Amino acid sequence: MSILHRTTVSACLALAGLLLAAQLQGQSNQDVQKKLDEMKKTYEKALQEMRAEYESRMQALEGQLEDLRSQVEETAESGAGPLEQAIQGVEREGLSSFGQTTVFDNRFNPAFGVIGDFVFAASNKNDGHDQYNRFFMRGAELTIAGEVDPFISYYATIHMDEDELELEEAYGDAHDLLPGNMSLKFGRMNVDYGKQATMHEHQLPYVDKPGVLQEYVGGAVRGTGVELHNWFPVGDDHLMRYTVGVFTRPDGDAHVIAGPIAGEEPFSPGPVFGERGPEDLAYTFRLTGLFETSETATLQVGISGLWAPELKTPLEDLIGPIAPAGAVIDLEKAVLGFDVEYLDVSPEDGSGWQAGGEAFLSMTSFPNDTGTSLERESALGFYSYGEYHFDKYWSVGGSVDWFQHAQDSSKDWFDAGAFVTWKMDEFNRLHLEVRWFDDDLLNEDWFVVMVQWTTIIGSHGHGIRW
Amino acid sequence: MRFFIRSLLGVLLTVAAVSAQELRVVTTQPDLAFLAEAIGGDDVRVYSLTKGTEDLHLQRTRPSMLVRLSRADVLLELGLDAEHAWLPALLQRARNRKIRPGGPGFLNCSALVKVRRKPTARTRASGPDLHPRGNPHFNLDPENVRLMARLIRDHFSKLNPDRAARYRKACARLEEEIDAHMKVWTKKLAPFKGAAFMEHHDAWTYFAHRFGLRIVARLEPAPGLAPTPSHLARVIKIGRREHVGIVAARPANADVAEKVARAIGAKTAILPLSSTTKGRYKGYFHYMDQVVDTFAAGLKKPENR
Repeated sequence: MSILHRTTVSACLALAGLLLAAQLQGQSNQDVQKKLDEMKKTYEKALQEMRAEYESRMQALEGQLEDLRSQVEETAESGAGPLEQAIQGVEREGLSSFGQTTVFDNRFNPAFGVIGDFVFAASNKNDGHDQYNRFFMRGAELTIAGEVDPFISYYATIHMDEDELELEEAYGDAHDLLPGNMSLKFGRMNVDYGKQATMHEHQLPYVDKPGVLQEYVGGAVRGTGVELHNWFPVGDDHLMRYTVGVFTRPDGDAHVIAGPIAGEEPFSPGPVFGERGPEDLAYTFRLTGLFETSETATLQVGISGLWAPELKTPLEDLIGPIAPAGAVIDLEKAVLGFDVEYLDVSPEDGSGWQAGGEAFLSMTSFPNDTGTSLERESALGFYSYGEYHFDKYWSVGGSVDWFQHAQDSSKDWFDAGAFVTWKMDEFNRLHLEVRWFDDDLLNEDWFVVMVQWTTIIGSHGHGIRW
Repeated sequence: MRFFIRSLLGVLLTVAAVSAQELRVVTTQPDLAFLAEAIGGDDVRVYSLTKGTEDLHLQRTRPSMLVRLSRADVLLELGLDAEHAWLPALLQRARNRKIRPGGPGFLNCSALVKVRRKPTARTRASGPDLHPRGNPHFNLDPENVRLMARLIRDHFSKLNPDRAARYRKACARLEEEIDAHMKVWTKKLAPFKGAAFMEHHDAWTYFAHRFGLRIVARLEPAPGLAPTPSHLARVIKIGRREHVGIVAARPANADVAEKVARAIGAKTAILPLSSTTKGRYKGYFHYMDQVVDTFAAGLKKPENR
């Protein structure tokens, strides 16, 4: 190509030179015509060469194209897709990918997220413990999650507030190790007990765990142990699920603003001393069915049980001669729960409603008034709630909560509240709640107004609403 | 008696053979179900996890989804994180290795698409519903549907090689239909090349690009944020200045779209973002016919500015 260009330029220069020379030297027109004819021949020759070169190139390209076509047809015939092969070709990393070259490599970092929960609570209750009419940094929960290998993932939740740092959960989930649909959780976790006990506070439709949950199980049942999960289909649209768990001890855990354990440490039995036996462990189960009643609605019913045959409880809070000072005593604790939830929220615009409730039977042994023996106390309680969603942003709801005190079933507790929630977006929620309380044990009633802001930053996951 | 037993055995064996070849295909949305049925024909039994009218961010997991996924041979997903709110948890608990990413039945149907509006800054400040891998509404461009169809053809051929020729033919027929429809759609929208419209959510990018239309504003200040009064005031100014003819929105956001449309003298295009499993938008071609007709009826020709 460059030779052709050079030839053309040289010919032009030669022609110009000849014309100039002819003019200067006064040569005849015939001589000029002769030179012009020669130049014309040179041009025609160059043009022919160019054409031949391009034609040969085009032929070569057409040949290559034909080869590619036949390759495509061959691969299509063999069933492997040419497009898929093309993708595989694009996805090859090539020589430029060196792999790990430094000691600290961040490509396999776990997913981190932080959940902030900030509350202002005002009340007419004068508790003398600085419990109300103040702001609460209820918590900043750090969540960490990642895959250990193809079979096991790991989750940890660290709760931080103004006073303490607490490891709430840290467990492995062998989601792909056992046969069928079985999976195994092991470590410290929120025990699969009831519907709302397993939830973290920011997931609730109201500010606090219902009072009956606070009283009977300490808000959330948290334990260190193992929990086996399994589910199986019922027809095409429904399923059943069960879990059984064994835990070292079932601690209560809640960060309550208003309720029977507000401002207190939730129920937490003492450590076990001496020889351990099966009776020192706590056993849990849950059986639940999820039924799809329409394209937008799901009905869930479930039954849960918690049984701790011999909870070791420090004697410090107890009185009487049944055990020497500083010792621990064994208390039996069993709580049976029945839950139901109906959810009909449109995935088109977020409108709809949900309602649910749980009823509990608590059977616990306590020292009697004189401290001379242990007595068994049975108590009943329930909560129920309903929430109407106008759209994906706004909802209103209400809840009621009633229970007999676990240690004195002759005294009961009642609270009722109304709430408005504004989900500004998926990661931002503002919540206003007004709640009225009446406690026979204290012989007192009061109200609390709460404003709550919850937010999520960083990684977060959407689980199944089991 | 012998004849009866042989006949029964024959029927049972035939049923068993047919069942063995039938692929249980689960799709995450109806456009993919439409393509799977068109290409797979009698060889596939297709179930769409969503109806097509949902906001995929709001979709929650339902028991039937888990059951269907646990039994599926093939899973077709849109990809680009369109299903991020519900599919990952289901895939983990469905315990079906065939349809997990990397498994033989899994297909990400965005694989061949030229992705648009991939954000350069991956921060929530750019929008709570930001899609880090780019806009996932590529099914609104019929030429992308052609690419999806080819992928599905190859995927089915790989899983069922004996039927590869059949899938090739079905895909070729489908592409002919796309060609024929594209001619009509292009002709209908050709007079509006360069015309301006608005959308509620960042969804119609691929459609606009295919037919040479301009999206001049979005009613959401950022993906996933509800429209604010000040933002709507700005949008209305832009709408008047840019001679906007259409404000497009999903049915769930019709109210605010109609309000803005009234303020700027435009029409609304209240449409789902895919075909649906039933009703007036069932079937991709039928859906896109109505999309094109709605836009053609509302857009203002650029020369009329």
